[in-house]
Amino acid sequence: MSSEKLNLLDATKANIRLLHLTWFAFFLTFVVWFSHAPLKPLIMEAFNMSNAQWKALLILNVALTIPARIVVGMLVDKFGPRIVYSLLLAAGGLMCLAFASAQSYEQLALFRFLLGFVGAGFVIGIRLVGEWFPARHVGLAEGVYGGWGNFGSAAAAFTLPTLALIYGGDDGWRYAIATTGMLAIIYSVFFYLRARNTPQGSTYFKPKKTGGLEVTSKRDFYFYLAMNLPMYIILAVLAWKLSPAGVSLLSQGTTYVMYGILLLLCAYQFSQIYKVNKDMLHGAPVPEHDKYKFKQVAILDWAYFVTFGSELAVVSMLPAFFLETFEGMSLAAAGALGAAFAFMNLVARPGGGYISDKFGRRRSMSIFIIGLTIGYFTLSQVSGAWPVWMAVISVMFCSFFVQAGEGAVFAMVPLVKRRLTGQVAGMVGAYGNVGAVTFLTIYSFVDAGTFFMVIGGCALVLFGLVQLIEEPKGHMHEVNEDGSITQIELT
Amino acid sequence: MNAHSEQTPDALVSGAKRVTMDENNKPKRASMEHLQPSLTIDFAQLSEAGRKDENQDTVGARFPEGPALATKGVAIAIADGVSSSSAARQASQTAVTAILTDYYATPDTWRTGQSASRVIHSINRYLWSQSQNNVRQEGYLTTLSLLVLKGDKLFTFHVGDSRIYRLRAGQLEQLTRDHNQRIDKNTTYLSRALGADLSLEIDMESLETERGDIYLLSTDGLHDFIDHRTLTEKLQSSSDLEALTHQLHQLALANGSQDNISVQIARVDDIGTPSESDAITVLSRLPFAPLLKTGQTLDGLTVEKILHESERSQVYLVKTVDGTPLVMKTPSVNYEDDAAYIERFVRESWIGSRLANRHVVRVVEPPQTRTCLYYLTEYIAGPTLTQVINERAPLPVSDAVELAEQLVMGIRALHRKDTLHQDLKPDNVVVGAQGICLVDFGSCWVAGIEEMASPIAADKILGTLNYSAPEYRYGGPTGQRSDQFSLAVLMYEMLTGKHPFGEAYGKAMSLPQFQKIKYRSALQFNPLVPVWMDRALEKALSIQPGQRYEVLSEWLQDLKRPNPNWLTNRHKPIMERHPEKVWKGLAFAGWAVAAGLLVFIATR
Repeated sequence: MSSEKLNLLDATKANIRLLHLTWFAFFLTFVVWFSHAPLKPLIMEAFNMSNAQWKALLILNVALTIPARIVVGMLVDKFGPRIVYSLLLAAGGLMCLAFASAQSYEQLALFRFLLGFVGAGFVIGIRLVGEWFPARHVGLAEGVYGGWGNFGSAAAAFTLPTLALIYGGDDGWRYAIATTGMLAIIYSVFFYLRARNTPQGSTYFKPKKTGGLEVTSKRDFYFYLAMNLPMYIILAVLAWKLSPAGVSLLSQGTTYVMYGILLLLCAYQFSQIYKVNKDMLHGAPVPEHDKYKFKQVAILDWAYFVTFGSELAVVSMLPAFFLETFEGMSLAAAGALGAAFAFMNLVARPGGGYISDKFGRRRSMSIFIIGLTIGYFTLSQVSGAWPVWMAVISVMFCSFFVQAGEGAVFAMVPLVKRRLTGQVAGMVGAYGNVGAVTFLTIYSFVDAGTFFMVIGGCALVLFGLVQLIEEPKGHMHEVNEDGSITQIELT
Repeated sequence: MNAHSEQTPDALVSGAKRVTMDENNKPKRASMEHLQPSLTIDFAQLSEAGRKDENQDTVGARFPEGPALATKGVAIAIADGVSSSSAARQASQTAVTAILTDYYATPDTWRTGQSASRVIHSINRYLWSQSQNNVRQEGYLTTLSLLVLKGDKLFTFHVGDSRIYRLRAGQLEQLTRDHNQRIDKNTTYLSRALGADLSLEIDMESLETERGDIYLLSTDGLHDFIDHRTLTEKLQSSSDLEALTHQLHQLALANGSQDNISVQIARVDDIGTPSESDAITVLSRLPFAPLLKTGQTLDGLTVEKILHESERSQVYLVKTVDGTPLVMKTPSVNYEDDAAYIERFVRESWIGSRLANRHVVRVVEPPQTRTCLYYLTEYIAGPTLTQVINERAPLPVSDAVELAEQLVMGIRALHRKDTLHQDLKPDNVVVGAQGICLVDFGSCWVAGIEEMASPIAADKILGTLNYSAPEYRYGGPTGQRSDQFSLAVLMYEMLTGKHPFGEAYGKAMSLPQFQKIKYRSALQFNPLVPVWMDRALEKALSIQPGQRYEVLSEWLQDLKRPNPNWLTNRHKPIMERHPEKVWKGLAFAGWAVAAGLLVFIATR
């Protein structure tokens, strides 16, 4: 039995129960992933860190996520989402405990780097929710999953400073972070016991392999290859940043090894892409109806680069930004205000998808980008002279458009090429993380004002790019007054 | 007539008897309602035993109406049974009746060539297996020539030495090539026939038709005794086809034909405007139906209720204009450009439409031409077996047996068509007023289709975890016994409300894992289950397909009355009950002997 409306409170339905189970798992990964951000002064004090070292920590936190997404995708193919999510939560929890008990900056850096793996949780839940919801509801369900889950970083910023104070003492922050780790471990068991990979009694198909993305023209093939390069470049920049030329976490030799590994990975990926597209490159004709433009994927990549990338970067630095900008603010208050950014996730992300469905893809995306550009330029002007409430409103204004933009991007992903939705979503998602690493790397060179300005500038460029996106074509159906359906073919 | 004589009203099949056509059906004016104006064909046929005792030829034709004329066209078939046994007659009848029903049941999306050749291949398989299993060693062999007229195209499919001719502009041309092998001056042998071998090569040709074309199909009793020139002259002599068939018959007899004499003549009076090239292009461009809300109307079908939605499809209860409730299944937009999915979806409706059984849901032709991709089945009011089990399990034993019997009947109808259901589960069974009905063919496997090379890589179905047989997951060979396993799971659930292997079954993926799980006796959960019935369940639920029942009827029999072998307690040899204990014991004994010997040697 099924109804037309999705009632999120109807816990008698197995798929609603699963949705709540899953978004909360995603929520916890975000809590664990960003548990360090609001505790900056405490951690820096405990380790006598320089600002540069702290900023390196922020980058490390999001770096491993880029390759981890691919690994997690393969694991889900092989073992199914239920067990993989449980293990990811448990592993994240353990690493969180390790981070909480770190005794040196090197250990801290290592565990933050490993915690980047937790950021790949998104992929698992999207797959799981996709299995459980029919086409009518899946958009909203995934919006709820993504939006409410992302809210986890806000929850962390909101609660952890207070929790640290309650525990008290020099090690209060350690207990606070360890608490999130314990929570993740306990929930991983609960999730395993309650979640199921597919609805009861549904037919089980062997999952399809997700390899390289198929493209449909030679030009697109090279375009696609080129679009993969930024991922490796940004990781190479990170390695350089960690080398003696930067914060000296890695020795010169290790840095070269890193470069080598990246080169090998890149070569391997290119060979995979070639394998998938071999026939097309050797002149096998692609049926007309099967053609699509890679340009669409590339623009969505960059859109997510700016939106989700900036969100991850901003939630990493915002609590500390408030603390440092406004004299005399308490740590707990700074955390709470820093949470304002991720707060909008609850409505903005699902809302963005909805608006995109209703009012045209390009137009809504353009409006969101203008909004977030204005938002970031405003944030770049925030100073200690501003009243705090104004700053908070600017943050919320900006974040609304950022998250609505994310929602709009993911509403469009399945429309590029249905058959390849998984791979397109994977690439777009990876670009979100590339954006985060890029922006945080920029942040490590400049102050907060310039940092916001740079994001605003990127958004302006993106605005131009989005004008090149093509509205997806297809059949449109029109409902007449008597309820009969006629179909209009769009050409 | 044999078992295949269920004829649809618009099929004219004639075998042993002389053709008598209903006046209403002749000449048949078949008109297409929608895209194309009329394709009009004048037609007559005749089949006579001649100087033989029995007529082993069969002729038949079908003039569909409505959308099927556009997508499938008019089919005219002739077959000449080979050999002197009665099997020959059955073979030719089977071939013609089957082609005329099954061809029209193929999905609209298939090309004519694909549809007809798949059907012919499956007939070939059927005849071949009949010959293999025949106790009197009679061969079921027949020739077959099929002519399909569709819009401005014609298609010929040909095996053997019956013929298809075309008369155009005074020229008579033989469109088919006889598959004969000359041994010596007086003897020729048929080198190709339906039912002769598992593999079969079909001659296929596609040509344009023109207005005024006359097509003639004949068996060797006719065309071996009338020379080419006479035939050409005769065909031009009269426009009364009925009279022509009689004249040709008389002429062949007069020329000394000793064989059965069969002839079919069709004249194309009008082809209308050129048709769409092929159904595939038309239908594959059919858009997916949008998500429908209650009250909306699509192609004259009003949505009453959303019955079920999943990630793969939507199922609606709809009502036609005259109020008949039907079930509409639409593909999920998630698979809009997934060729394998579309192929499977379309095939689902085809599988349903070639079955006629009380316990299998009927696929219904849409009242109007489809504007979207969907298919319709009759609506069976009633709870699904899932609901019945949830509410009433454990069912009384006699009720469960009755339901199982009906399930077996439905499944056997599928198996007779060389089809495996592959996804039997309580959700796919509706308990209606008329008894049980199977409602989903989404996972069916059809022999003959799967063997053919398809450019589309098929999805690998693993069934529903709790109900599909273990061999699907560990990769063993699957067959009718795999459906037997699922049936037994259903029966077990009806009797106990539990799964025979518990939770572990859904998790097992490899043979060793499956071998570890244990059958839980149904008596544990329902003491009213007789011991012998439990044994029958256990046997059908064997992990190894080879240990299950040979055929479903044996299982059914063991469910209905005690198997005398099982009335006493279990007398299994220890080797079968505890193989590992036996081997461990043997190994231990071996070591003990060896140790004993060592001690013996050492102490000497």
